[in-house]
Amino acid sequence: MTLPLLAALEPTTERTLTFLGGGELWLDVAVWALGALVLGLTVWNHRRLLPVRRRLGMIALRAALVLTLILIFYQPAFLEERVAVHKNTVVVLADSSESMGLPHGPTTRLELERKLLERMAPWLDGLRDGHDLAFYRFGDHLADLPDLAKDPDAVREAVKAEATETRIVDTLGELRDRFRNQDIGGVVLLTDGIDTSGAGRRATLGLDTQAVLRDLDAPIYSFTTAGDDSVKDISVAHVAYNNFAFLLNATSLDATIEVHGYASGTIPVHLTENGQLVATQDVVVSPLERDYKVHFDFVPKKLGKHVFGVEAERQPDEIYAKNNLKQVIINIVRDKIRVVQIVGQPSWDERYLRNLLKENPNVDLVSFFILVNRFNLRPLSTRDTSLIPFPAQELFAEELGGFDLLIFQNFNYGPFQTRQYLPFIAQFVKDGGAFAMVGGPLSLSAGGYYGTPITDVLPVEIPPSFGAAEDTLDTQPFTPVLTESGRFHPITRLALEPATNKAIWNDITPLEGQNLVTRARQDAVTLLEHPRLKTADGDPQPVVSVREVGEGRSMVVTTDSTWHWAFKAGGAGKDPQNYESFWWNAIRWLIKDPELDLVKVKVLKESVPVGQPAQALITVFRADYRPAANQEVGVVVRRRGPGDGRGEGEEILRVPDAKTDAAGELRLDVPVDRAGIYEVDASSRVVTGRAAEGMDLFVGTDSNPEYDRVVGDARLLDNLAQASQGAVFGFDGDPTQLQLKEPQVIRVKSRQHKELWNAWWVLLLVAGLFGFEWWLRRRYGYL
Amino acid sequence: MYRRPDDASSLRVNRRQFLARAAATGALVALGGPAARAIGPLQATTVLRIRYKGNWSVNRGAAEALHEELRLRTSVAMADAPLTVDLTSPRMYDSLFAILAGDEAFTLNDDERGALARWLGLGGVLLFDNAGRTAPSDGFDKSARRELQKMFPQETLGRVSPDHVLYRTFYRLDYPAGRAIHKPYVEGLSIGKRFAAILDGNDLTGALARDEVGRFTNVPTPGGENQREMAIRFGVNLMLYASCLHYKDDQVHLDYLLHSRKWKIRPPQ
Repeated sequence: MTLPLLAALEPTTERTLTFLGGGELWLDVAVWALGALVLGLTVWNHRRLLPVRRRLGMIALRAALVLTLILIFYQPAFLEERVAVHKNTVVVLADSSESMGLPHGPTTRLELERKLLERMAPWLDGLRDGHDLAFYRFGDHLADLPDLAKDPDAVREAVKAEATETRIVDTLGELRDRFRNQDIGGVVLLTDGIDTSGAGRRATLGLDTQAVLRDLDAPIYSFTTAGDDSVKDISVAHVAYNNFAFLLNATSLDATIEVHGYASGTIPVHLTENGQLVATQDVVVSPLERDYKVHFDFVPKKLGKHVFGVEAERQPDEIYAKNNLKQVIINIVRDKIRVVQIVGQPSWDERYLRNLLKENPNVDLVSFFILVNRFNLRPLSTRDTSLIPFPAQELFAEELGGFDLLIFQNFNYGPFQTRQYLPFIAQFVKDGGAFAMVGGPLSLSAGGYYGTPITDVLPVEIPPSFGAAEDTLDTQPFTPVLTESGRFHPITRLALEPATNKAIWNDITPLEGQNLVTRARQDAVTLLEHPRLKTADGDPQPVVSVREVGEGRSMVVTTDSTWHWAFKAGGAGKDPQNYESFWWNAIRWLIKDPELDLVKVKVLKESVPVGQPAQALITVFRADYRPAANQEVGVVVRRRGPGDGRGEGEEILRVPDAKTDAAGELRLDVPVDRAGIYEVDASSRVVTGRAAEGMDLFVGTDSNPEYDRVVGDARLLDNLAQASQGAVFGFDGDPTQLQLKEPQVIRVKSRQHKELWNAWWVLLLVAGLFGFEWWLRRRYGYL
Repeated sequence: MYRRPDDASSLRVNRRQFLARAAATGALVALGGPAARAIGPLQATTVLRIRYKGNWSVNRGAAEALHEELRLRTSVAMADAPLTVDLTSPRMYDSLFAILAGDEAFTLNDDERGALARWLGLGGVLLFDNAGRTAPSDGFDKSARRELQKMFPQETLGRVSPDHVLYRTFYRLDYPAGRAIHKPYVEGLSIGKRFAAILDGNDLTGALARDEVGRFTNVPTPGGENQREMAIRFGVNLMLYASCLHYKDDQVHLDYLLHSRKWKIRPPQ
């Protein structure tokens, strides 16, 4: 980086007349009164002196003498100062971005810019007496140019239309940094007015920009083609959207369409989702408008990341067509967790779980409690009670797919003629639903579930017994033990610090009663286990086990006493929040909260230019959520075609046997050689029998940000000029009109007073006047 | 054992009525499976009877009767017997429903008050039952209000609206019956969205009190056995409120009760 030489002119001496004498006001008045008195007496004494010419001469002589004496009273002197005046710098910034290559009438913007520079050269050269000159070109950053006056050909060669971005405001910030604490006489900005950064779209200057202008403290004069209406172009200049939306809830997206060169007509604008048309709106173009707002309302129908595109239909003679489409990625998430809680009998366990779910506004809860049973002897009438039918058909056969989580809490299906629906529940889980079975005297084997399709999706195998029996239930209190897997699993993570978490579980309030199971399934993960009771295999009886089944997840809690962690713990002075933490952890894991995915894929940039690699970070956890070090990961990258969903499209990269590092991470560069929607899928067998998968999307774009808008926005340049006391001109403007700042930095090197009143010639003057008057008086015979 | 009330003619059903009701009930609730039991004594639902310095044992046998009626009428897995506890006992945390009955003034000490406030704050539901004979005991009423005021100075007792879910957690009721009907309402003190304490002035436990051989010891007035049935139903609703809270305010229930049964209840605000 070179800095202009801040040379000072040769020091010069400045001389200023000053008066060292004088004094109080009364003294000044007295002196002037005395002088006037002397003059008055002189006039009186000479009133009869003739001829008149002689009288006036005598009076004038006396007046000169009096004024000379008064002047001496004021002690005149010269103040002599040696000063050095520093030059300030005039900065010339020449836009060398790609958009400068666009045509402007019969020529190009770049040619206009070069001609203006040539025209400016003599004027700039003439500024050298009071200013230093600095020349730069800019696009995405500031770069030096040769001195225009000394080497105009080199400047012409150096100013090219090549930078892929134009950052006018950032360039001014860079200029501010280079010239910090130095005086700038003015900034001469040559540009087409297209700022590809966010600042270029603002209607007003941002606070940062205002701060830059304050620091520069110099007028900004722009020479520009902004507002040029000679080109024909339609562009999707901006899309305003939220990067997430809620499933099945109306959401909206706003686009700004810029229209140049088309006087009137209708332009269809389409909204697409993964390449499929969602909606079309017609924009009616009028000659007076340039920007048009298009508003789309739509209802997302699928979870996950989706690419939404706004595309204005290409019109004849458009200068650049790729800026007609802008694509954004929106993550569709659940607005609420939809939960069905079915309870076999009211209990304190039910009370606490329902309260937990009901109090959370993010949960849409449907509860069904069985309030009576066949052993109730008192007759009941529908007229007297608030009992309602148990809607088994609607719930299990029709509506179940609309829920995220089904909870059977101490519920036995037998008396409700619902056995035929149990396959639906199993299928619901395999298709991606979540299922939790909470223990109790009506649950697991005691509830008669042995041999039913539901057992296929449970994380435990259960004994064939039925009802409350010694081999189905144990009634003793116990303190559950955290397993090694439980130490890392998010469900049993009650504190972030593993040691603290372990201590919490060691001190957890005891539970009571246990549904006995045969064993945990091989692909299940047991998080809490019984301290004494054993399974058929001799392993500890599971208390909390989880399993991934097909696309879904299941959990079994083999006791109906977790409410102890809230109520009894609170009564004993322990933290009752452990109950809530445990169950919320469980619910988040069951419904596959993306934060708890075992394989996470993250592409670092949402939009990647063609020719550059997209950087993907893949993180893999084991089923118990320990980082999966040296884990084999399969990665497939696809470029989706229009209408393609997940896993569809042209395969462009397959890495079947990549391995994670010690932190369970894998970094991958994905080549982007064509524009399109890219899907990065990663899978790893961290769960026995199935692959855990993660996916992310990005957009490969060949749209040049320089051409997103082909006509510059004069608002930015106007705002810069207004805020800096500058002005905006066309490329045919006259640079000699610019009002540059005068050099302001003056440093006094020496200062002294040279007194006049006590000089010899002053004494001679006074003596001469007296003598001359005396001589005249003698000659005229007045003495 | 339950003794059929001599004058409960309105509750008697003939065979045809019984079959019709049984069929309707069966279709509606699909009667549950095995008798409600619990795996472990603490998992069985218990009514706590609060022992304090005062006439806490008025209306003996009432809690036992409520236990029995809950077992006979609902699927709740009731414990064999209610539990009599001091307010400072850790066993208070065996259950979330308690009855503090009395017919005279009483005062809790600081420990008792602190323990009760914590129990209520953690989720407990307490019935203050005023067992005054000819009228609600002024001393008991003032004592209950004073103690609640000391425990929860920011909260106040307020009348429980007839539309509140407390009157339909199991039975549909219009008023809170007891041995007497001094007041057609109960008052409640809220913690969050639930009533933590309910003050009853109609001697609910008096309607349920029984002697050693199971005979009811009081005749409800003025409604006799019908009134006793209504009192039992209110007791059942109280226990179901403690265990299910606002379950019957769920939209699915309201929709059915309002449209299929043509109930005239206002949905909760």
